[in-house]
Amino acid sequence: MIPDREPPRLLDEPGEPDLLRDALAAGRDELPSEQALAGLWGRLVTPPAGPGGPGGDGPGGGGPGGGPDGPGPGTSGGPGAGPAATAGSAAAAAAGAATGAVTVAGGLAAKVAAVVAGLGLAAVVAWQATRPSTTTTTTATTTAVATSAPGATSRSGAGPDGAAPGAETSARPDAEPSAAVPSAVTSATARAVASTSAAASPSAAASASAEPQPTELELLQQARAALGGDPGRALALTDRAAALYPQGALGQEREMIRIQALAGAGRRPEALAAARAFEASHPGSAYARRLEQLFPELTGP
Amino acid sequence: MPDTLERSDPAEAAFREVFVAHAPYVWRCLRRLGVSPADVEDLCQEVFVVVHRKLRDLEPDAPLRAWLYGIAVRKAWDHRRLAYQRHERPTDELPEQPEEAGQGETLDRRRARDLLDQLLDKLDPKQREVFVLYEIEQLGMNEIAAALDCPLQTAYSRLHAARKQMQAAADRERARSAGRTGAPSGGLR
Repeated sequence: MIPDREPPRLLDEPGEPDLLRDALAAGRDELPSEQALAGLWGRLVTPPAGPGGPGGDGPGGGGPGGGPDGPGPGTSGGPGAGPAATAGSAAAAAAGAATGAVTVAGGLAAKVAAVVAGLGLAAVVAWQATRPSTTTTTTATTTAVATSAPGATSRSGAGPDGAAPGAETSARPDAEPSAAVPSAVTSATARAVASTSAAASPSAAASASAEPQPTELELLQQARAALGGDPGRALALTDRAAALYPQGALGQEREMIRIQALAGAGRRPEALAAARAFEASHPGSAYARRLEQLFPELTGP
Repeated sequence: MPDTLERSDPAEAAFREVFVAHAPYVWRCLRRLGVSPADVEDLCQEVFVVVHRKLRDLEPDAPLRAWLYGIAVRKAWDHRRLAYQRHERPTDELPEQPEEAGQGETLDRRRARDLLDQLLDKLDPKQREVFVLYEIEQLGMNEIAAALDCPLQTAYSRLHAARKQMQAAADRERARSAGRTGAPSGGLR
């Protein structure tokens, strides 16, 4: 039968330290590292040919994932083998001409590559580390271009559920050569800039090794995690993210967290004002509906 | 600026937001459902490939977490089944995990987590799902029933059974370690 209310969670039960509760807490606290997440994001952008692709020794460890459990009907050879056709040749093909691959990849890959350049410095650094070439600038460019090319083919192969997830990507109407090539170049530039700034700014460069400065993604994840229990901390973290990454790729996410933190901290008028400002500066944002759920006032007259 | 480039697609922004907000927890959930450290990134990727494909078709009012965790649970289930078909153990042995030893993670912490996974491994998989979603991921029971596509009452009875078994196993473990150290640990059966 269904109880009137949910039982308290074991983790919430008061009392002395307890073996099971300790175990649950330890299980709850096991979260992936920021680098692992950035690597995952990188793989989502360019599934198999990403970090683990050619060498099979990327951060993913397993390389072209799908392998063991990718139930892709009959495509098991595809995801891994196809795009692995050396990054060099892919890059050459992509760079040589406005190929179809670049066109197809123009949609998602180029766009998200820009994000990765912004949020995944660690990932970019990691990618570069796994690549044969060691020259920073060259690698940055190569990565972006090579990323675009195999990204298209691999996406369609990597669909774990049979249907090709890249379908909508390749069908994108905006992915015509004229648009795609510049965007590929843009992402290459973005990466190059990211790499350069990583090299130039000691703090950013060091984030790959000593991590003295949290990444934007890291800060926002911490902020989001703090939203429920400690909105003040969430607020401080978003402020820090804004200070460190004023032009960060996750500006909208940061602002959304800040608004919720303000509301959570009992500063609803400020939250509402911030929500209004957000709506005004990001018309048509994917978060509009969410804001309206949070603040019914926004929909009113 | 690339910023404006990718901002122009709300669907991509929505996907990014879902990823940023939930990927760490999906990852953790997969781990607690028995996915080995070696496989978790691959499986997490599979989950988000599905999310990316289907997110834009999700009803705006649909419970996002239930939907997302539903995908994760099904992926973990398939993973387990395929591992079984390959005559592998559903989970890798813990001692050889190659995962990064999380910064500052103490040995106690690690032991406690290993113990948790051992106890979870003994649960019926369906009970484990409910237990993990409720106790670790802190989903509501309604969300869990939606995620698992089962009646609410079923979710409750699975939770109840899982808790009972986990408590009993923890008690046994406690008694064992108390026996080892010779110290009574109080309040046990």
